[in-house]
Amino acid sequence: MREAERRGNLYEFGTLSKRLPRFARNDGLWHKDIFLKPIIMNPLRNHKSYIAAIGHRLSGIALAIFLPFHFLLLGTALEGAEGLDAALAFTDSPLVKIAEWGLVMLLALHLLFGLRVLALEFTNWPNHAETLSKWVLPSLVTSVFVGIIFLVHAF
Amino acid sequence: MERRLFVLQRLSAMLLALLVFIHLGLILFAVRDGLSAAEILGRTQGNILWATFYGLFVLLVAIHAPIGVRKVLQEWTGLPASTINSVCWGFALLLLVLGFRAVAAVV
Amino acid sequence: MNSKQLSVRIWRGKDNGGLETYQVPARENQTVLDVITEVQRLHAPDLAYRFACRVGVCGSCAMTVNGKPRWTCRTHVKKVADEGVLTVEPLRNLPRIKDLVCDLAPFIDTWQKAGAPFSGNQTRQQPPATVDPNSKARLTADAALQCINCAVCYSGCDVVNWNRDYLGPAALNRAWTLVNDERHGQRQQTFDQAFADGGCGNCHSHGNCTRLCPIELSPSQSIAGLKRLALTGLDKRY
Repeated sequence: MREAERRGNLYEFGTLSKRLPRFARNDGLWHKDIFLKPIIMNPLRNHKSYIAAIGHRLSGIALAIFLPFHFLLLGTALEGAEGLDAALAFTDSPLVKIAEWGLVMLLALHLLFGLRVLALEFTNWPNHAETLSKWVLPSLVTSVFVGIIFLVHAF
Repeated sequence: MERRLFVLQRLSAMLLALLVFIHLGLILFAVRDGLSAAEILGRTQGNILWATFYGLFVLLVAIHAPIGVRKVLQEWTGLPASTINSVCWGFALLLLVLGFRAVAAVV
Repeated sequence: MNSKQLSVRIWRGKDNGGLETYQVPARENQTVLDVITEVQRLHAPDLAYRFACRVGVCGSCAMTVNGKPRWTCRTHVKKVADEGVLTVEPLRNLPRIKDLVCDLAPFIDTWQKAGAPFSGNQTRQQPPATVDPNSKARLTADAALQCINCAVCYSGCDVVNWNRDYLGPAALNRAWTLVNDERHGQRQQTFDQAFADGGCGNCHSHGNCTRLCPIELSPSQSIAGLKRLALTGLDKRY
């Protein structure tokens, strides 16, 4: 009974808030229903570790969705080089290039933020969480930089 | 089970970190003057080293990604646990099949 | 504080309640708990809130103050008031009962699920265990002791917010102290429970628990310790 009560009571209030993805909700606290405020102004979420965790997660989701298509594209080479070339022609369109640029950036980001998670979990030195939060901004910058290199070459 | 999944995901992450680093380097190197099938296949075909590299890559990704997706679904959707587990098994198989097919195609 | 008055917005009612604003005199030295007490005495005698010791020992006065869970008795208004406005709400992630009072039962349940009960491995006929105060295990446990179950970390944890099955920082921190306690007879069971469904595999190292803990424990570090053990296996030396 207690378990049922516990699960039934989700303490999520407001109207818009309920439609937001869970990471953006405000859990019934007073800043409810103001779009974006839950993320940026929520005092529990406006810190670097949260940015890193959300960035890590969102990039991971994007990569997971992209992967099957990436494999399908390479699989076209089963029909020889012509098949792959035909598929690569598709990737020549600017829109696809932009998407690829995004994915290269996200891959770099997922790698760098992932290294941070591994360091947080599997190393232990004084103040390591604090020190590792300094890793967040350089990771973002590096990923954008990697993306730019890709974009410059791809066009 | 949870513990095994956790260990699998973190161990695969450690290896993937290295592989992704090489992969990213290769992407930036390969796109210097556009991508062509001849160039890609010229690099990969018949090369046992790249075959091993990409084979391992696919295997690790098929372990790493579904476990991560599982956590996301658990936390951000209200789907029942059994549904989430089936979806993730399906996703793992999809990645394995398509991944190895792709590796087979380019080597 | 320049203005003579302080606006206090306090959550009234249960889930579908709302914030009510009260005006109290702004004083040089006052804690959030002082202010709530003043509101209850002078303006809203039916205001429900919890406190006991008033000095940061019992952990019963935790509430959400301007968006962050805190001990209201150890929080000076000066430090947290946002342009002279104080917003006080019940803890999040817990069922609300009335006004500022939450039901802590789900939180206490997590402790049980994480294998929190101590179980000695000796009988009363045996001499007391001699724990070397400088042993690695003892020092590790030391760093995680002194938790008083105030639920601030549980309330601040986003993973708890997303996944009601997650045991949360406090319970896993407790499990970590037991895993490092050579007198504990069920170290393996505690470790297994801490890693079962809803256990430390769910922690994403957001670090809110460590950031918010009023006595500066680091539950995320404790959970990381458990995660490291998942790779290496439990130390069987004792």
